[in-house]
Amino acid sequence: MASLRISLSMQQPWIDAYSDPKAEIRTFSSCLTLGDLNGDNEYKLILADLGSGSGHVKLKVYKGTSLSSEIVLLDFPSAVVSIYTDTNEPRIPGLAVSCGCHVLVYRNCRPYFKFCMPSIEASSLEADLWRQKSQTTQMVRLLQELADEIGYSNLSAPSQTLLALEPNMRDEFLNKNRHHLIKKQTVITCMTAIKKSLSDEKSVSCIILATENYQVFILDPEAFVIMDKFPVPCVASMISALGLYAVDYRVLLASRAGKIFLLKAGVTVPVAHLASHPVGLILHTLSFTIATMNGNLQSYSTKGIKQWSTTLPGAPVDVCCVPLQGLALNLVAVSVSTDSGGSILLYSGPQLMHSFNTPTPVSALVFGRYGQEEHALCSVTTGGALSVKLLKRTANFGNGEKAPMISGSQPHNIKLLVPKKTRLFVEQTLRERDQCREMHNWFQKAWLDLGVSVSEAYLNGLRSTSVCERESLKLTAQVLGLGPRLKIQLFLENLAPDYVPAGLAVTFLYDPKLYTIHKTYIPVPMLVPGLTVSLETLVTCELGVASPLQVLVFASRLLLTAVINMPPATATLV
Amino acid sequence: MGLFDKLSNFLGLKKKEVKVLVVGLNNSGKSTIINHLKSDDEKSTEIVPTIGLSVEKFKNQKVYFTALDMSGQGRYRDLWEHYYKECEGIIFVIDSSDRLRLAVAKEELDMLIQHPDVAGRFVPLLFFANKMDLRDALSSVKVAAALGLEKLQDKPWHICSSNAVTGEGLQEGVHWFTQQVCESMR
Repeated sequence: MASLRISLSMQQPWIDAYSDPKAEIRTFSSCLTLGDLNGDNEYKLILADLGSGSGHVKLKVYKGTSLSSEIVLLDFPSAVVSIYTDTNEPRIPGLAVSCGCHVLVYRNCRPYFKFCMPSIEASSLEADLWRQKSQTTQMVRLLQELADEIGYSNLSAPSQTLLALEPNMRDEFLNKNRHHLIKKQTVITCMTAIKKSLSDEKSVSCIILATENYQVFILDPEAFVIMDKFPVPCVASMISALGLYAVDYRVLLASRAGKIFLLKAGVTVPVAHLASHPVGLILHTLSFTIATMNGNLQSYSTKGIKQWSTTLPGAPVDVCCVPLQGLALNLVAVSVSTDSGGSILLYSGPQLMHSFNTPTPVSALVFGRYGQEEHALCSVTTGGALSVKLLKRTANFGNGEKAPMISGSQPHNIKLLVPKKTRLFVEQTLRERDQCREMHNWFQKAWLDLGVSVSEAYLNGLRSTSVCERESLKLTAQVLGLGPRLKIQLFLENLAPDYVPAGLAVTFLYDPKLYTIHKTYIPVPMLVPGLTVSLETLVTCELGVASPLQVLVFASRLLLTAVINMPPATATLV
Repeated sequence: MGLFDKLSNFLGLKKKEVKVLVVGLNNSGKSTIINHLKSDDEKSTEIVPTIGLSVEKFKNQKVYFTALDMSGQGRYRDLWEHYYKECEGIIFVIDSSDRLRLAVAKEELDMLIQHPDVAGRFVPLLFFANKMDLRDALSSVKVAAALGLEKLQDKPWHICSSNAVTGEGLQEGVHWFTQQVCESMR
């Protein structure tokens, strides 16, 4: 909390450079990237606008504050990356868009290359069915049986289409497609890029793809051939990679079920199983950060050991990496959706460094070079608004106040302070062993004694005090005057909040030789809770001796007693 | 100042030397402007991004200018404030086609004006809304409005749109600047 206050008191480190609330963009983080598309050192924002569902999917390129070009896509893209595919001058990057089973590469905003994922042979049974040229109804029945057996999703696309068609359209479809070879096409689920052999900003990168049929591919960008193919145990829904292809690299995959796998040196190892579904993941050198749907931001080491976890103030929507070399900070920006809209939080490890609110939750975030500016945060909200914020040169995210690391220390690492056995302890143990019979007898006797004294105290209490359930009365007594005629004033108050006792009366126990009380019986009016009732009577002292006097409050039974210590009377009335 | 200095100054014999600071964001055209103001035989043919700063000299209306051409890159902008004290005028160059970073230019200008070495002094400010030839360039009036120059009242300022490649608009600005500097010296 302290950090939140610091960041709020600190001046805003962002400059609102551009915002277009009416941009009407629907996109996700994987379809949002920055790149120097024309090789003029003016970085552009590239995003795939999924549209509202009625129009085409478009690839939009923003230059500065205006839309510079649009490319219509025929299918929904799963990811967009901007990578350098060759070393030719001028350095113009290609724009790789993964769409269905294709990777479309654009250069200078024009189609350049189309890579198609290798198709997979359909099951032999299915191919046989198509070869047999059987009647439509029989074909459908057999395919249906096959689908029940191997699963609908494992059928080839024509079979799936045939089963999904209206019965009267099936004939036509079958005749048209009978001669085609039955092959299955996989779908690319996510895509990322790593540098091939040099870590320079503009060096050639490789594309890493994960597909629906449990595989990860690495493509060579120069020839567009598959360099590596790894089987993975899950369908990856999110991917993050780090390193150089030619040297060493790691690929982090998150499955739809919340399992995290790390692909390293050709081997996939499970590293974590999350309690909730992942929203976004970022791979660092030795750890990775994940935002999960249950509102947590967590970090694990690459070996799968949980390092920290922090609770976000809302549901996370997207995460993005904000590396700030100048400040030696590697922040993670998390956009969360809260009740009052959205906010973007910048974390350095588990420490919140800065946060700001947005009117609607941000659905896609990207940080990097935009235009001429090095540190730009581009965001698209769920409402379709585009906004660009530039980091101020003087921005400072606070340099101290590091919160103590909320480390998940292992139970076996906690050391208990067990003192050494003292001589006293050893002697006592020996004695207990030798004289166990006597000790047991003593204990039994002491236990009985305790029971007896407790019972005695209880009986005594029953005799001397009255315990009633609902009545709770407060009585205060006062003796006025010097004597021999005194006045006793009694104040009676009902403390029970919801009960009004009725039929109460007050009387006295006294020695009639010493005192004469004028009103020995005083009826008590109705005791309204909170009000103090004052009762009084006159007392005449007969002898010059003082003796205590008991006041009794009763209804049908005795409720309250009090003892008044009478003052010694100065003189008797003659 | 000796008697002779005073006399020669009064008669306009003495060579007037003025130190000016040229600032602005990177890629706004500072070095190109200075290059265009230099005499023909000193002009360089190729302008590369300035690193740190470069010191250039040029002459206008018998006034000798020493221009400190500062680098506009983010990492070198910290250097600007160290030269505020010794300069007698500031030229601020804006890329009028870079609408995105106009807010950044305003931020830098605000920091410049509020700096203690500039705030209390009489320093003429000349703004060049450069790259006026580009298609999506803003007019000088719009640039002035975006920078909030109307609020700048304690210093003489002037804005003119320019094209540093052809030299269009530069003379007008430098003429005004020379006049201001001469006035302040008297």
